[in-house]
Amino acid sequence: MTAHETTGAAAHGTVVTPGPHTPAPLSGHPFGGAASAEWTKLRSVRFPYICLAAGLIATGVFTFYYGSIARINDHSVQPVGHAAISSTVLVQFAVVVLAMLTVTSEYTTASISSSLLWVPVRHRVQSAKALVTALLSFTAGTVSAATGTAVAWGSFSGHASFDAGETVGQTLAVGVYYALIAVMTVGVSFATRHAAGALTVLLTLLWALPSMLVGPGGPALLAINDWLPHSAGDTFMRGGAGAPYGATTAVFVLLAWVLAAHVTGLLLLRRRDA
Amino acid sequence: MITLRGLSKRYGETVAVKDLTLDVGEGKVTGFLGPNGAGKSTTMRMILGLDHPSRGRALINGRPYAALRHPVREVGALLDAKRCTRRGRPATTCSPRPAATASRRRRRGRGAETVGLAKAARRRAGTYSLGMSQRLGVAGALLGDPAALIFDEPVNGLDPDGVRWMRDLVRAQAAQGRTVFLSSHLMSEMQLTADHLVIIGRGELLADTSMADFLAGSSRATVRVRVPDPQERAVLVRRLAADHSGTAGAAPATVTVDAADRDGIVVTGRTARQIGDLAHQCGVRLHQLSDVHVSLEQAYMDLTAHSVEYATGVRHEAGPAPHGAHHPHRREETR
Repeated sequence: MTAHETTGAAAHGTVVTPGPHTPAPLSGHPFGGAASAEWTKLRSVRFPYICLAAGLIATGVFTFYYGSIARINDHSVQPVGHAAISSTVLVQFAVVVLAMLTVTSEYTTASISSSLLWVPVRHRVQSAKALVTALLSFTAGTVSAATGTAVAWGSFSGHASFDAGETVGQTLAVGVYYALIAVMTVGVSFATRHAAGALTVLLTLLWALPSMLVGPGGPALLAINDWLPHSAGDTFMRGGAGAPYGATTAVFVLLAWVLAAHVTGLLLLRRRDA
Repeated sequence: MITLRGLSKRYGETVAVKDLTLDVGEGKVTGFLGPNGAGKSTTMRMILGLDHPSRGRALINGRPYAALRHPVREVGALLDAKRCTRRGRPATTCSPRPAATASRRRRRGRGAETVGLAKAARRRAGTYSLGMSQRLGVAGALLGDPAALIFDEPVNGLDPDGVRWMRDLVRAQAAQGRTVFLSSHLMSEMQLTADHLVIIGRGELLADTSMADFLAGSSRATVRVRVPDPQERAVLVRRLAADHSGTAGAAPATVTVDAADRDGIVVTGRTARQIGDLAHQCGVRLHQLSDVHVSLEQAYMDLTAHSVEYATGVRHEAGPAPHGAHHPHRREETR
């Protein structure tokens, strides 16, 4: 700044050439960059591939048994897509683990600092992660549902009905459900920051709580279960069957859960030191 | 330009950073010193928007970090080693950052070369040694070609070659007109690297001064004088004590008999020129008149040892030694 302060630099034998340092202008909205960064991080590590493979295998095994049991017990004819929809009770956890690790692995390695340096706007980081995992989960969901439906068609051997429009709709619905579960998981993971906490919350919400409510049965417990995320998702995927509300309401119930998780995660992410 | 205004951070009862106000200017290397727990990393994390200040502001080019549209292009940061990207291979994931450009591929190849990782670019970053992680972190920081660099302990874990590489790198970056703000514990290294010093202790600013001024103003800035004749020596010592015309204003010179050499005296508070002139006036024959070089380490130790007394006194200029400064290793002291 003042003249004598540059003597230090001069003493080190370097020539100071001050001047404005103007980076070249960039185009595009920062959110695009943030999302592409999340995609790069996701595709360059191993865990997403493991989660996707596990999800696909689990769907295949589940739907095979679902069709076989329907055949062996001589169930009445049902839409073939029900096999894949029923598999979500288990396979959704592949999506949960995938979406969770995109957040918690960064806290484990402290690379969350780097993420927040690259994208300092907190809602942008979270939304980018949510979007990328949601798109991936949607794709994975439709692919695995289609695969599961094909597997189940074989093992049903005549105990299922096939309607092209309905099957496509149910296959896409599984994808949408997984996408929403991914967004919810990202929100919960930002709130808990650690895998153990996130898994506890999501296992309770998506599996333990429904089991505890359905097990003893009774109208009150079952009524509560109807409003939990997986029940709402199941209702949505089956087109409104088996719940006191229709498919549209089911989507809104699910969206309310997703929004609650997302906002909770965002508020905590904003407030906390990284 | 990095601007801190009343920056404070408190964790419950503990005050980590207290009312820091300073500017980190362009075109020079600003060293950030302080003992462990002094608040260096917290300050850097607040500048980078990772930690929220309890009070005050940290601005980069007049804006908070989070308000920068392309932060990676304005500030390159290196936090603790192993804190940067651990996953993936640098060759493919050196740029997990917003704002992809056409020159991205070329630039990250150049980045790997700049930091000497070209050969290891295809390896997984998790397998890197500490030094390699540090280099990878630097590559990440330089990727956006930023105008400001903030490095926290950049030479930690580097071998001598790496330390030298880091020094040359940050000096070159500053010479290009960039703002370079780096923290370190290694005083000898900092003395070679930094132009300007910011020293904090217990979260408070102790000094914000140029390296040259800090060393010159240190209480250890001394002159060694050898006078072979004992009587002439006594005359000179008396004249030095009586003479009040020194640069330090009213502060009297401190004269100490050199422990290692019976002929020698060590003078604090007068320059070699003043002593030489005085000796000439008195007709005192000198065998030696030389500046004793002070190391940053010594000056820093003096400052932090008296950090409480200095907290208000040495804010923006490293003043002369306080009157009562006591140096236990010097045997005799006269005024």
